[in-house]
Amino acid sequence: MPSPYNLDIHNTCTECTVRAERVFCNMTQASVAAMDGIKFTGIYPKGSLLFVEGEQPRGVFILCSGRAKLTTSSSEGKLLIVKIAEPGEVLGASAAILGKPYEVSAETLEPSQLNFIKREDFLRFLNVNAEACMHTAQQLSEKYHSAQREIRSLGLAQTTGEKLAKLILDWCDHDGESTPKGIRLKVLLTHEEIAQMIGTTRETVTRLLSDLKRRKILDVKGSTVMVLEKIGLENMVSI
Amino acid sequence: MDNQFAEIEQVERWEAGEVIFREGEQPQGVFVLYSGTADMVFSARNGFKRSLRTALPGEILGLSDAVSNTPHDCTATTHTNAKIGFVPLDAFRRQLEQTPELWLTIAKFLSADVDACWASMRTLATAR
Repeated sequence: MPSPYNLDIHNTCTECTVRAERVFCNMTQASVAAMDGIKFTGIYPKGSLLFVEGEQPRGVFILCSGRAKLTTSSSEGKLLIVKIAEPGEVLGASAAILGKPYEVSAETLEPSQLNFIKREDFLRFLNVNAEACMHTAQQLSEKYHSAQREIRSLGLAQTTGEKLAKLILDWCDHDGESTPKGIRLKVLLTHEEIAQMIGTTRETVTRLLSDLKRRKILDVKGSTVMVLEKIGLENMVSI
Repeated sequence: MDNQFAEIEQVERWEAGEVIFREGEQPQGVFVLYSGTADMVFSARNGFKRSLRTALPGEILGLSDAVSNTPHDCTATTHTNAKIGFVPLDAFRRQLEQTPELWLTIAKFLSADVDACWASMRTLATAR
């Protein structure tokens, strides 16, 4: 029987083939087996709301595969994407640990496998397992650094064009594939979502991307972005 | 910070405007802000500097950098007179090895740090 959305489903953490690559999951067999006993595996389609900003924490979601966007809203209702979560990340950890409402909302960007652990089980797990605490702390540290980078970009960039250029350069470093023509990126975000990442409007993102195409700094075909002149983007960034 | 660090912590009074640590430096330890506030100042390549976050009493500055052993991503400067407890990095790490249960405390502080960052991002994104 084919798996939902053709996802490669990992039903048990102890048999997961990618565990060693993930900061949180790369624990001893005993710790992972303990986690197996308290997690609930689920497959979620694109657009699934895992939790909503302001909601009391029910638990944490370990993103096994797929991606999710973490968003927060301003008092005026403006949406900001604070992070695109990648496989291996634990979503909702800070809220669950502190017992405070979720500071962000989480929504899947593509079909994803997530392991849900109820809050009380997660806290009990952390209380008896120092290794799990250490891995959780290490992952929170990564989240903190990621947020600091976004703060730098939001706070220091002089123009929206600079923020967009910085974002594309970060994508090049993280996910870019070198080709003879340039650096190829697979961008599954809409212009609206890109705008939410850099605190601007969809119309501004569309206009800026058109300008970069006109200047032959990049080319866009569907969800594929080819960065033709990386130096052109670097010259736009001073942060 | 928990009493587990009391024996190795050096608590001192700092005046306003003093640099606690600089952007790009390797962490020398962690700084517990008992009273007063601190500016977290970020620098651009062109020399432009801006305080983008304010640390409040109860925060541990440099904690994430000490945990991940990465250079500081901003400069921390006291905004007001402050009372700060410094725990040297090697002593901090030794204490964690000897008392692994401390990792839960570390996770709690880092959780608060992450939430504070997201709150700052919310403010920065809407400030135009």
